[in-house]
Amino acid sequence: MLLNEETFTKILRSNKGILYKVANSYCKNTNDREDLIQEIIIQLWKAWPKYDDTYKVSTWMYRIALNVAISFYRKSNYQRNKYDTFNENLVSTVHKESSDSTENIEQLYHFIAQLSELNKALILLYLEKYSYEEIGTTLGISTTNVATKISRIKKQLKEKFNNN
Amino acid sequence: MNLDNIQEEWGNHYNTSIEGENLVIQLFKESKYKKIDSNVKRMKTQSVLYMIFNLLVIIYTWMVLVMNFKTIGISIPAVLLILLSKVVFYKNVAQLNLMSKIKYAKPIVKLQKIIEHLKLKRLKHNQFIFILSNLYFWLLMIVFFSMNPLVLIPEIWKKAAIVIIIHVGFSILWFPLSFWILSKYGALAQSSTFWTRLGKNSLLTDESANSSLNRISSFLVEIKNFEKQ
Repeated sequence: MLLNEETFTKILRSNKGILYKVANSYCKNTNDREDLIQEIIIQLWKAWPKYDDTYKVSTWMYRIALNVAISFYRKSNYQRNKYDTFNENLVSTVHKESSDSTENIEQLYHFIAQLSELNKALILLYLEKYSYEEIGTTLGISTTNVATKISRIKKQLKEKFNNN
Repeated sequence: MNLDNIQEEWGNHYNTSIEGENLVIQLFKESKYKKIDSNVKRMKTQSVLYMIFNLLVIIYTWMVLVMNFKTIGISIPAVLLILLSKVVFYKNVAQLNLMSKIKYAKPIVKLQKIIEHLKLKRLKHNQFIFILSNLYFWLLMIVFFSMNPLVLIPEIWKKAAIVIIIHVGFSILWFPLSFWILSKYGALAQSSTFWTRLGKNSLLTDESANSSLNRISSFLVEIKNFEKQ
């Protein structure tokens, strides 16, 4: 059990970026982000004994993190003021965690914030350079569907960056 | 702008932060997984209790039905009570079945559909009980005390007609009133702390399933569209 906890902590350390990227993409403020990260860690810890090592740890983490984030987003978004602006606290977490954070990353977070919950999951996996097949398996949709959606989102992304 | 560069930049941010590492470990240590586990257990326990209660009602009502089969005033309410209890029983079986399927390592679209269907079933179950609560109460009274309303009502009518008028009037009014309360409750729950607290504890409304029927339906449509190419 102790060994399990040690291994789990090690995995958390080396994949902390996944938790921050998901939390920053789905939550509007710092408190929510920390709550979401904690909820993701809880579900990861609960699912840890059943971890299937045929999958990459990062893929397994992303799948759980995104599932928790979508449920959390739908719950907290309903309870909170809908007019809460996204950019209010976004930058603080990014700056705090990453000294070489660029303007591009900040713009990207603003772009992601405008997407639907499911498209957010899609673009996050795409940005992590997962293959279309892996994205399809993680999301539960076909590879061709992934390709179509990504090309649409990339087009929007290009327009967004060109406008800025 | 090159999207490949964006992927590189995206992949690297957070990877070198020690502060972030500490926060993740701190949050892991502080994890309240026991609390979350107990919430899930509470939901499951609630469903199991509903099932046990309804099963006991069905068994007892069958006994009453067999003993009073020829007394229409008791046998018809008993049949109705068995039907209602069976509906509630199966609604809880369906909820438990969906709860057992919630595994966060499942593909995202699949799991989100299960969660939304569970919310939908939970909300409809609570509303079903609320709308039929008055009828359920009287059916229980008739069956458990073997009261024959065909004998009792004329007797009471002779002595105090107003009692019958009030009860019948309220029973008739309850249906439109319950629909009105349900339609207003969601809006009221957001308007003040009092209504928010009441909403959370009542099991009647949107808050009891963390969502509303409209929001669930629209998200299910969104998932369906997402699955389409």
